Amino acid sequence: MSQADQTFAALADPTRRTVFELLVRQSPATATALSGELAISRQAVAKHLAMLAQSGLATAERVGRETRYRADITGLDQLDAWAAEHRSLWTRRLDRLAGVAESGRVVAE
Amino acid sequence: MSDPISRPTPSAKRQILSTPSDVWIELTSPEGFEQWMGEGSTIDVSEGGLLIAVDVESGQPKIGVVTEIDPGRSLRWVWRPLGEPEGPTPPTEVAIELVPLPVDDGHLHTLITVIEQPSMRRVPPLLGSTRPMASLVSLVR
Repeated sequence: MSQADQTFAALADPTRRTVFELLVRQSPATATALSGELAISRQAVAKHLAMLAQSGLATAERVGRETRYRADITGLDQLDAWAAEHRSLWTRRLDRLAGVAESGRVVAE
Repeated sequence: MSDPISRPTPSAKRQILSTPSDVWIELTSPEGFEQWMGEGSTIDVSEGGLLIAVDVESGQPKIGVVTEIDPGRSLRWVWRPLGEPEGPTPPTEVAIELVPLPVDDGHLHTLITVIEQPSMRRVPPLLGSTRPMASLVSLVR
């Protein structure tokens, strides 16, 4: 799986997106601190944070007995490239659809 | 940075000089779909209907399932590259919306918007599956 796919997969989960958004606003943060603001367990938040770190969307730093996470928004650059490619693909698809629809080929619904 | 997640959302938007009902026909009919998506592409526009898309540029086939239909207004499907039953590429959801645009001469044109984004839904693993459509729908929900 490419880095972009990992990032993509990480953000496909709505709860993980919420964790990431919270982390962007509150970095650095621990799983315990974030779970206090979300209706999910510390263990669940810890798993989401680990996945974000694995996907390049966060960095983890061990401080004493706790792990502090920071959002890494440069990880979104992979998605920007993906988005640009797909935007270009869809632009051309819509151009073709417009060509068909505007050609007057449709005669009845 | 107010909304970092919105950055990667790809989209395309275009005005088409035809009515939404005419655009819908070309968007969803077998002939129209094959023309704008690519030769060999098929779509069953019913909830749970299968979609095979062969992109005219890349030739890369994708398999998907239609998930929502509002005739003349919107269409959603989930798809992924064919031949990758468990990844590596995650499925994405495509949402297409048609909005009527009144023009000066009293006719309607169409503003069409496409958003493609990551999806947690699953896509049927095999092309040509003998599963009934109802069970295919259950796979993506």
